[in-house]
Amino acid sequence: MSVENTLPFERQEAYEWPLAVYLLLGGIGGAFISLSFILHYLFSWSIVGNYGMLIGMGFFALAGLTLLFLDLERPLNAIYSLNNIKTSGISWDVVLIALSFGGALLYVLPFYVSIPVLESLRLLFGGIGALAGFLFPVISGGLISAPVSVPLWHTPLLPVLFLINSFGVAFSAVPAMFGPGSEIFAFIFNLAVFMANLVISGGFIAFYEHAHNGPVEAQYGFHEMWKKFNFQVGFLVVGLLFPLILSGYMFFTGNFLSWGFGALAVAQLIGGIALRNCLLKHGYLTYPWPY
Amino acid sequence: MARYGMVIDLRTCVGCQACSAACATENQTPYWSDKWRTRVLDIEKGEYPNTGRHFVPTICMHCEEPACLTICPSQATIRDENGSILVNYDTCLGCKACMAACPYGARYVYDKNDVAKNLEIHGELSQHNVVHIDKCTFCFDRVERGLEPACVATCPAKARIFGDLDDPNSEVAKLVAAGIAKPLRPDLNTKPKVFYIY
Repeated sequence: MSVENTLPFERQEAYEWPLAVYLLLGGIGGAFISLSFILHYLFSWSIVGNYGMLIGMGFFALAGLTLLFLDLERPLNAIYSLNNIKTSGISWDVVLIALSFGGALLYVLPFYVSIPVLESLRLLFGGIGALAGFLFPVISGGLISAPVSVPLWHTPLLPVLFLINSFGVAFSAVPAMFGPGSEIFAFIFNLAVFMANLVISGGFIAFYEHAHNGPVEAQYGFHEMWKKFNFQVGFLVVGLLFPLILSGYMFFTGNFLSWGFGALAVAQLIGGIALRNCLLKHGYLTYPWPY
Repeated sequence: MARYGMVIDLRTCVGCQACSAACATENQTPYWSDKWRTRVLDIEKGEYPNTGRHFVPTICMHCEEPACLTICPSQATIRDENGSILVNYDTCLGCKACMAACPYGARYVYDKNDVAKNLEIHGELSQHNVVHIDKCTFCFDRVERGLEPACVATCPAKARIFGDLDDPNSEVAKLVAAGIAKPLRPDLNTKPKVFYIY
């Protein structure tokens, strides 16, 4: 079947930039909560354990509680979204947001008030929040990639790209906000960002293969996306090449620039929103008639 | 129970759009926003002077393995006892997951402007008084009364045939069993119950 032998492509009208913003903020919120828990629990970095968690909760509040509900046509019915936990990715997203947000809240509370029960269960709450936060970008990526109706999205690479990008932002933003802590931490953070961007590069090449050699609908959507300034500059240059070069420079020279982590965080944030927005916008439905 | 399906004969469809109009009247769909439960695509192919015009009526396929059913977070999309896929307007969130999942583009949002306009036109008798995702129901209320769906009853060219796929004596079952009527995109594994003759 070729493009000439199908009916005109029909744009999917369901998901565009509001969902892209929601996926980005939710993913970063989850990554912040996971990373803050690990840094506090394993390395006793309490300022990150406290404020990092709060920042993660802020992202989740903005994404989950605000954008998700505003995007719904009937926000008051959101409680029904838990009716189909068996098969619906959206149901799982709501559960994960609640678990991650709630876990982080109960983990942070003992910083401010002394509640013996909370303190004794802190590790459990933090672990639940961190695990749910880690899973959120995976499940939300899976939600987008699950339907067969949009061949450009129908690949397991999307959860991977969303997850790595979210953690890349968190690995840059934590040292930018709280300071790297020590030389060895700066090295580890920078290495994590470098590796994340290498994985995203590899993932993107695999995605290119999927889209370029896949169904005609995916090829068409990908070629449309490839031509857009938002994708070329927003994702490829600012979101991928720049962080790769900057983190590579800092890694190989050992010169951890004072502005480096901040620039990395902002660049990956821009790249993340550009990637998600372009993907959602250029996912096409094709009318399924081989005339 | 029956397992309702439809056969659409593209050889006889004349593109008169009577089905769309009948459906809009019967089901109060928002024609003012150019949203239809059944549409007739008008496609011109080829280059002058060797051009052809093709009419392709489209509708919800009432799939046996519908992607919209499993993805709905609120279980607002349901399957009735006759296998038709319906939407519970009261529990629909309007999250549009079903719209993204449907490979046939059969769903649209009955948004607040449409609801207001519909209430203005139909008043208390309006079928749509809340925002929801809308789609074809195979006119289940008409079928319950022993009538055919509005689009079938109104088609002047008899291009649409409705019936029970499990009844070997029904015309739809015969056409499908003989391989004369075929589903769209069987490779997507949604097992549509609307078939086309072309």
